Amino acid sequence: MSGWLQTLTPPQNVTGQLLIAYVLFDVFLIVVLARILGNLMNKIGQPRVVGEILAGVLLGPTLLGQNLSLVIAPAEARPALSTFATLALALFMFLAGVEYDLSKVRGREGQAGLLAVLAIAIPAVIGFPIAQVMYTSDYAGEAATRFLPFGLFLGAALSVTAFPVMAHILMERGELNSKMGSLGVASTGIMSVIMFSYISFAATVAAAKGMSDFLLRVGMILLFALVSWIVVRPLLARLIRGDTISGDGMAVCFAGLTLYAVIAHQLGINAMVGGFLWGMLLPANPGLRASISAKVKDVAMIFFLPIFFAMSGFQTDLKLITWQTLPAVGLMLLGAISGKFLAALPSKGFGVTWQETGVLGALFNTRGLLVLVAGLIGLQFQIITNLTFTIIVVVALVTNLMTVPLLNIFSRKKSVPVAQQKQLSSAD
Amino acid sequence: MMPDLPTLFLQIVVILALARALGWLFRKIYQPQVVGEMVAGVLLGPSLLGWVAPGVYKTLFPPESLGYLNSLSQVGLILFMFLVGLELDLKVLRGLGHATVVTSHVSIIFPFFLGSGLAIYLYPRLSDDSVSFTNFALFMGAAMSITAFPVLARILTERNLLKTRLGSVAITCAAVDDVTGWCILAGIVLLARASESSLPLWAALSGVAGFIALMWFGVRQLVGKMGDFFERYGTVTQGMLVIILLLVLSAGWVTERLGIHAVFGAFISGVIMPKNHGLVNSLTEKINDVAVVLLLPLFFAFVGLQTSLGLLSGAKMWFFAALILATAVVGKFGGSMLSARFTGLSWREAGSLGVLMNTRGLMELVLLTIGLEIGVISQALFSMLVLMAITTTFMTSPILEWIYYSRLYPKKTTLAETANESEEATVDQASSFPVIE
Repeated sequence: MSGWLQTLTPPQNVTGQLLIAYVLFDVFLIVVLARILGNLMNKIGQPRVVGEILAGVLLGPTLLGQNLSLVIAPAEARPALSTFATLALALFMFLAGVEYDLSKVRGREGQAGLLAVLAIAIPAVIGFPIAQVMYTSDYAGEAATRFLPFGLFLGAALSVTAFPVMAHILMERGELNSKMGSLGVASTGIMSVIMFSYISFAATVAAAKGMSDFLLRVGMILLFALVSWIVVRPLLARLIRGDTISGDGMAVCFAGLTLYAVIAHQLGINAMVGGFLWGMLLPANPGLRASISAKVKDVAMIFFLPIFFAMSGFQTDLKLITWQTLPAVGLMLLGAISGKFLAALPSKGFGVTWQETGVLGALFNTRGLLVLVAGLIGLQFQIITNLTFTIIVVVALVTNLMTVPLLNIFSRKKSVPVAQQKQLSSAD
Repeated sequence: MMPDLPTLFLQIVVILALARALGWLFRKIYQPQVVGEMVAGVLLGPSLLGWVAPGVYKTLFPPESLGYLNSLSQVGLILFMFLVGLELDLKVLRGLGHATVVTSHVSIIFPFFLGSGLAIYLYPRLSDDSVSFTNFALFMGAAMSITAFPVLARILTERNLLKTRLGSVAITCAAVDDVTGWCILAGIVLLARASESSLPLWAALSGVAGFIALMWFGVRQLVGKMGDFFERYGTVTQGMLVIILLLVLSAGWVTERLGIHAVFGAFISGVIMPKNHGLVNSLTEKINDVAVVLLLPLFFAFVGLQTSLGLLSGAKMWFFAALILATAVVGKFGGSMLSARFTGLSWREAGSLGVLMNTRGLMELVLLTIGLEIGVISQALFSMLVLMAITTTFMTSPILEWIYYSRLYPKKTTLAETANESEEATVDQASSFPVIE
């Protein structure tokens, strides 16, 4: 069987009709696999996203080998798939922005802000000594001629927290309104903004050619954010009214989303950050936001997002992790986990119990899929190698898998019943 | 490996903005939104932008970027065709009156023969030996006889005509035309591709027949269960949506591999879905915005990029274009009107029916793109036919007002008022008839 599989050669000259057939086939395969593994993970009480990341890895060279992976998804079909992955990510980030709830942050800026800053800063700082150890040609990509961008990117990968997952878990446990719950949600809310600023910062450092160029870029980014908030946001509030969104309104959303992605890309921060910002700028009316999200979410999450996981899986090869590279994996994991738990410590001073501090640490440590975004940006800039990207995928998988068991340890309450978790979509 | 992101996203921004702006403008003059979107596509192509500002055109639409735009628009088209199929309820074909049967048949056969006849004249002038005359003539026939079911359904809904005699005859005829037209086209694609395909023609034909039988007798029963699920949950769950999307993808893949086009598979998957109103509406709502608001304008732009009115240089070419337009109108409008009149509708109703059936909308564009793709028609002929499609769709609203409203309801209802009323009316009608925007 496997002998026969090895004799298959990737198809050549995949163009025109055959290309469309391949794209359809690949999307089919990806969606099925992501769904099945996602459901499986859900059954054993894990977040769906773990299964979906795994589905992507399975389609890549890890299991099938480069040759067989190319038989399934020929080189010519990959750019088309990549187009969908890009769109998927833009839509996903847009939704994250749309579902961002500013009111959760209001009134807790102080304590939550401190936690948020620490939760980004500590792993980011820890990232530097780790990066120092890993700064060899095995891990650092061709473009990482300077140490700084490499260190920043590793730090960014360590400091990611999946904010929607956290809010969701807290809500399901009925702890959203407890002292710990509101503190946690508010801090991840602030955290996501800091995190994206930090990823943008790392990307800007990587793209800038010198100090003056860097300052110019930072100035432009600040100007862009300021104009968006002061000019564009009120305009949007006038343009889009009511509790439901019309077809024209959706067109404005989509056009603005792509426009912001282009601007963000040109400024040197990633296009996805633009999508997130655009989502946040929409009118605050919760009904309107729910209506926008309802119109896009299912198709984006079920149909498009798995393609992104596949694209990230194509870049991942778990076979690259050998005995020699295992220490690096351990180091990254250690940095990722300890950084987040250290950051949760000060919450003890804000009047929560030790157990709740542990819960907060476990929640901060959930990385969702955003860590893959940070990794892919690094890969795109050639700051990191495929090996480092693979390590980041491992970190994402392990930290996501840890969350539920850790919560069960720290909290006397039983874990979320499986049935309720059904609602945990891949986004969260 | 990654596509050139700024170019692709900038294209999407420009296309969406222009399509919506023109769509809005056309709505103001009581035209269906889709006409504006179609025109927007043509304006962005070499016909206007490439002609007025070639520099901008080249920067915005570099040839190497079009592949990405195309793959996005193809998926949009596949999702859209699923929605079209979803909207089509074959139950209307049951227990047809004599009038409807005759009218629907004539409304296909008459323009089909006129189109094929025109092909005899056009073949030596606009085609070459790489295309066999049979394929060319069949394609011209099909191009003349298509009716845009979704546009027609939308016009009827907006004007509150669905429940009238005219409305029910029109919607039925359009449904029959749609199905027949696609069958003819599938046949042409099979014939045209037979030479290059790895499958022999008989295998492809039996494959298509087997596929349709499987979908109708097997899969339809299975997805029929979804109606019950919907009743139980009251919403389309993620699990249901996954299954439906997977069905669309696999049906598209099968038809693509059989040598006919992926859109057929998507269309058939839509047709076999249970026509439970709640389910259809909720499904349409979930897919509509991504497919129709975001991705479909990209398809129009892609059509527009291949349309080059500049190719119609000289009086002779414009004469051909006018001839095609005249044949299309005479065939579809004349054929439907006369047959409707002889089967008992009043002149006014018959005329209105003719106008409605003459709406070709974007279904014609789908057909033309496939024709261009398989090489049956040249780019010049493609451009003429696009022009014809837009013109015939554009004609519908004003002529319908002139024939139907101003005479039948001389005092009360002007089109403007009906349009206003129907805005409220659409809301309650939405429950009885889903509308793809």
